[in-house]
Amino acid sequence: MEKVLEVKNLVTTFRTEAGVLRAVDDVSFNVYKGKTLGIVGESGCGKSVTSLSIMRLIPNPPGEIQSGSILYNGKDLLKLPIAEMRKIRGNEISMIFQEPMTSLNPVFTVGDQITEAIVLHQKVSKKEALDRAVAMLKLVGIPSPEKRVHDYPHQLSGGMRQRVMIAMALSCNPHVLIADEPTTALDVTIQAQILELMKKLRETLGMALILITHDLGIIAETADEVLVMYAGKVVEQGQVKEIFRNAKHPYTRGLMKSIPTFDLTQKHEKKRRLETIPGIVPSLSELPKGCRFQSRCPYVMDVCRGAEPELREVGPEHRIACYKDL
Amino acid sequence: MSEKATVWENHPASHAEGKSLWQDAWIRLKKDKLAIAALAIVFFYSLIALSAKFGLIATPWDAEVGKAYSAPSFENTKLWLGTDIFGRSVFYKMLHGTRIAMSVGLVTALIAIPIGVLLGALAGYFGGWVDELVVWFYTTLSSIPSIMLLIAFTYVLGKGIFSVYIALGVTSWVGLARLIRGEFMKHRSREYVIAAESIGAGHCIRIFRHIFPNVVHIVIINLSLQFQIAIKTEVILSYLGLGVQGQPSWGVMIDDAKQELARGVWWQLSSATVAMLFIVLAFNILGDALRDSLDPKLKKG
Repeated sequence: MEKVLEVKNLVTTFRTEAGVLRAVDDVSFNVYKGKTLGIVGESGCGKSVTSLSIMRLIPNPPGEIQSGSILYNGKDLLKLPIAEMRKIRGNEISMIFQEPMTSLNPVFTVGDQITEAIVLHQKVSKKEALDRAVAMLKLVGIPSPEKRVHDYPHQLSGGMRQRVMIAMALSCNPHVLIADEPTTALDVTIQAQILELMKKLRETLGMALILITHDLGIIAETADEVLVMYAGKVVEQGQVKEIFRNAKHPYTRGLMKSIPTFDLTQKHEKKRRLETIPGIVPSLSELPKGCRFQSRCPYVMDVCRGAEPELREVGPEHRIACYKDL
Repeated sequence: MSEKATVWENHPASHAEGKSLWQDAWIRLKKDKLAIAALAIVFFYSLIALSAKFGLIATPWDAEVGKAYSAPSFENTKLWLGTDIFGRSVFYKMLHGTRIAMSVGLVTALIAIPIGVLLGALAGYFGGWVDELVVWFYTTLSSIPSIMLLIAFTYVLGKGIFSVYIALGVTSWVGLARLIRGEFMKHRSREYVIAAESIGAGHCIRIFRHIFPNVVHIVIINLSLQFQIAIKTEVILSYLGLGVQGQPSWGVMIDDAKQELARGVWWQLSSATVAMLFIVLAFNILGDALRDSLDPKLKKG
């Protein structure tokens, strides 16, 4: 497998009134060509900050990438001058945002916005860029694209806009596509269409996909490898089948159990209540000493309140940050 | 999806043509009768100003056309509004006053708008020390009473129409800069701007290509309001004897009228004030109507 992106010991902090908070704390992972890496976790666990860090789009101040490295084709993106970084953004690594409703500029037609990405990075005429935009809209499954390029965002539905965003992100054939909750704002049928589309495009264009979501169902369907994050740290990492069949971290297990199931065979039995993980994610400013999950963990031991657990191998390509062997 | 979709695609009702901000605004502005009347007045004044400028009408304005202080009469266009102390046509003076007023409005706006937009955009977009510097600069400027500042400017630059242009231009951008700054602060962290950054757009592209078109309506609204403020200020300066020299401006005409009223000569004062009334009113109405039709927040359905 060809490694496209290698994130090593990434630390991103935010300066707030409560002090300097480590929103992403020592996160490492690899992204391979033609594969999908899924990043899951609750709100505020650092998923989005991780993706924005890769693009170097962290608003500074208050945010800052403290340390670590992000190797792309042997270059460390964190050390590149900003002008070089701009050449990579949208051209080699692109991003799709969560909110298709607000991610498009309301005063330009979608054609204008797609051609902008193309013209910014490639030496092509306006006319060629527009043809390319039409082709991209066709690729993402928008009907009558030659007419739709002249539409303004407000004339399109949410699903259509997300397709436009994808078309925009893919217009320069990037090697890596980061999708930050690309389907959260869409309804379920459109969700399935968009995910199917991204899967198809990943295969046809041979790019790597980083899929950020809090929906384990999406991960199960789309991802090859999974990264489970909790309060800024990676708690479990492994191949998707392994994680779903054999989750080892109490947090991942908790997440799995929190998925509602509709088991009709249990009709007359006592109704099974949906299990949840008790408590809430600790605030980054008041992290306990030791393991970050200790206050909510059903298996908490004395050792958990001491040093923070490091990631350790528990199976082939399967690592967890926990002292307990489940 | 396949066959049915194609049928619908080709149906004429399936695709409404998209309208740009300007087309959309124009459609809404057209429905407002009062705004159209105001626009017509502005257009009419501009036409007079241009004709006077190129000598198509009312030339020469300083020729003696009758006795001093002859009352308005309809025997001759030149005498429609009577004559002044030197027997010059008040009607012609009023038309030339229009030229001065419109040029002051226009040139002032052309100086003030770029300054206001640029400083406001930089301050709002970058924030930090750039913002502090710009805010410090305009609060200092606006803390000086504006009429004092204008008087100081005209004394330094010498009397005349150029001083009026410069003085008004460099003092009247503060309000616009403030508004633009606020809008840029709001827009700089909007997702569409971050999305633009994520496709590799630099600061310049983000400021001028992405955010500016989203706030340009403020400039247009401000233009129409600024225009009439400039006209009024020019009249005040000329009345104080600091404005236009040797040319017929409404302010000079009103200034002249001080001595005339006691003798029952009312026409010079009335023509200047009525001329000013209509254009200022028109610009005010137009400014309101433009806000209604351009501001996306006020859009109905």
